[in-house]
Amino acid sequence: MASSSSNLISLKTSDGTVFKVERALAKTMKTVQAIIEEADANIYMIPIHNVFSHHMDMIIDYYKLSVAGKSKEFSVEKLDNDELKDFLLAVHYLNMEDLFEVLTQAVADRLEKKSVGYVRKYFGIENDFTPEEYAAIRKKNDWAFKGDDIEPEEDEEKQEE
Amino acid sequence: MAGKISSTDVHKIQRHNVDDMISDLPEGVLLHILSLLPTEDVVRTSVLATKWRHLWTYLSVFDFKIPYPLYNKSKDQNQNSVNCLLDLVGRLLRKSNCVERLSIDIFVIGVDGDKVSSLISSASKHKLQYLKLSLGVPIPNDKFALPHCFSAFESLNELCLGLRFTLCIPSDICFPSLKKLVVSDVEFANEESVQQLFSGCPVLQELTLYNCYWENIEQINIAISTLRKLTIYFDPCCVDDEDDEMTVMIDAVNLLSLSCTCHAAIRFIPVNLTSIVDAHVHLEDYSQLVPVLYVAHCIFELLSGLNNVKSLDITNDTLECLIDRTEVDLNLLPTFHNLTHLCVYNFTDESTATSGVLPDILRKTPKLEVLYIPTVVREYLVGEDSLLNSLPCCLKSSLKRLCILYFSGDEDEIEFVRLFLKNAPFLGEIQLFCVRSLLANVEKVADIQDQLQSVRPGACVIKFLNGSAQRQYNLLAKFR
Repeated sequence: MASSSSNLISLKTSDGTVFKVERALAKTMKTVQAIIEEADANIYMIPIHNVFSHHMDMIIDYYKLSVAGKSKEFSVEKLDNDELKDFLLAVHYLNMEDLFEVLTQAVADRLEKKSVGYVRKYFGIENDFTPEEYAAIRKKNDWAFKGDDIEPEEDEEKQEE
Repeated sequence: MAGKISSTDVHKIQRHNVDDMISDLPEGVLLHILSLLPTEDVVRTSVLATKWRHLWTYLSVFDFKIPYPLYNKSKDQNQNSVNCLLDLVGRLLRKSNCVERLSIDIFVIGVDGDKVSSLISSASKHKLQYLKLSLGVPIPNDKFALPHCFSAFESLNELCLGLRFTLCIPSDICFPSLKKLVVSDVEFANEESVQQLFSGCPVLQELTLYNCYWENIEQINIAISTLRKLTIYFDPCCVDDEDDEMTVMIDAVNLLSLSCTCHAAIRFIPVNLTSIVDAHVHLEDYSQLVPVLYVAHCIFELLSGLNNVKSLDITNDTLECLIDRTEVDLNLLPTFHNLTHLCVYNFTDESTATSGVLPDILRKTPKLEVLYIPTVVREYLVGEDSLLNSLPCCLKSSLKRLCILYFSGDEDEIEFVRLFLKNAPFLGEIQLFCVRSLLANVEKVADIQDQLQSVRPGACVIKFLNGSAQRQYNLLAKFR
């Protein structure tokens, strides 16, 4: 018995893989939902840029867990920092509220209480302050640094993994 | 390029062409992540790069604290840290316009009263919903007048003032949206100040007065018709003799919940507490300087005002204030017509025996269904109140659950529980919180279970539970 194709939406990831997903799952992706609603006729295939097939795998995992009431079991621990950031970008693009909250929380957990150097590395930020500017801000916001006398280089070195 | 490349590898190869990964995450997403971090981490981002310098100031929730001084620093250095923080907060409040929740919590140390006024003034320009100010001793002098701009806090829902100052409250103070007010460690300048503060909160629902100082004040009137929950905590041990004559009038027709912890000589005058549902009372006569009769009168007056209550927590210490029968007429206890839950517990030492006043209380609780007591009541086994003579009618008509918070399994205790089982036909559950040595003795527990079950076999569930203090605390918290 062939299943009704109107219950499945086809999504094509950036790396060319086609995923057939339930309409209910597509509904959690506000970006996709908007495309469906704007289309005149039944849309055949929706391309989702910035989203790779390994992202879709995780999205489907999360969806299955949350339908079973087990969304707390979803974990991104095995992703390294880059992979987590990429996944967050994908989910942000798709505009998926719940999963976005989960992922931003995961990023926040990884950044909590970390040194300035670690955060710079995590986001790939370059320090474009002059030493004088740096020292001035550092002094004014000293409270956040527990009053330790830290030079910029020391910040970089204190990388707690 | 031999071999297959997985999609993750492809992605990483593409990544190398991007220098600054920050452009991958839009500012809104970054702010969202920052909003999940503690304020300390968030302020630290200001030194990451020029682009981050002010990003953190766009958040709306801030929690600044210096909970204790750094012991490896001098007093001056600690003072500087505090001033530095206050300046930081001042700059934030002037730069931003979207702060909604602000908390400043600093250990007890001198703070510049002018700095505080200026902070409050800057804060009044935001649409603050929550404000907590817990600050130390002001310099140069003791007094601090709440700035008039406080009245500009139109959207403030919740205010926690922990100002160890002598507080002068302007007469036109007004918090039009304030629902919850916590005042701690404050010394009010005079009675007018107190009145002005309360009358400036037209929609107040929750009020907590914690460890305030009332040196020049003899009477406080808490007349707030919208009030639903009132908590009064004056450390029972830290009371001057001068405070012994203090009076607190509570006129709150919509009050649902009242908690009073203080010296037993403070006189409460409850007025019209017709809506009251639950109450927590701990009155301790720590100094023993005030006449017993006066203390008893105060307690009777408070309990009479609470006689509509459904659930009552009362400490053993409170009951012990009434123990002298030569002076105290226990018939003056009110009847609690609606009381179904009564919990008597020990404020400090959990093993202190239940007061002999309990039988008199039980005679005034005709509808009691659930009873928690610290230990068994010896008075029920011997003497005038022996169950051979008189039995509170609630045992026969309504009691469903009995809990003993400190049970060691001796003969008297077993006999007491048996008496209850024999005389309380609706008793369906007994919880015995046991000392560790009893619980460890599995045979003894089984033996006691048998002895008790033989009274009315199978009719009542009897549980032997771990009586640790933490468990009890959790239990009592749930009970409340």
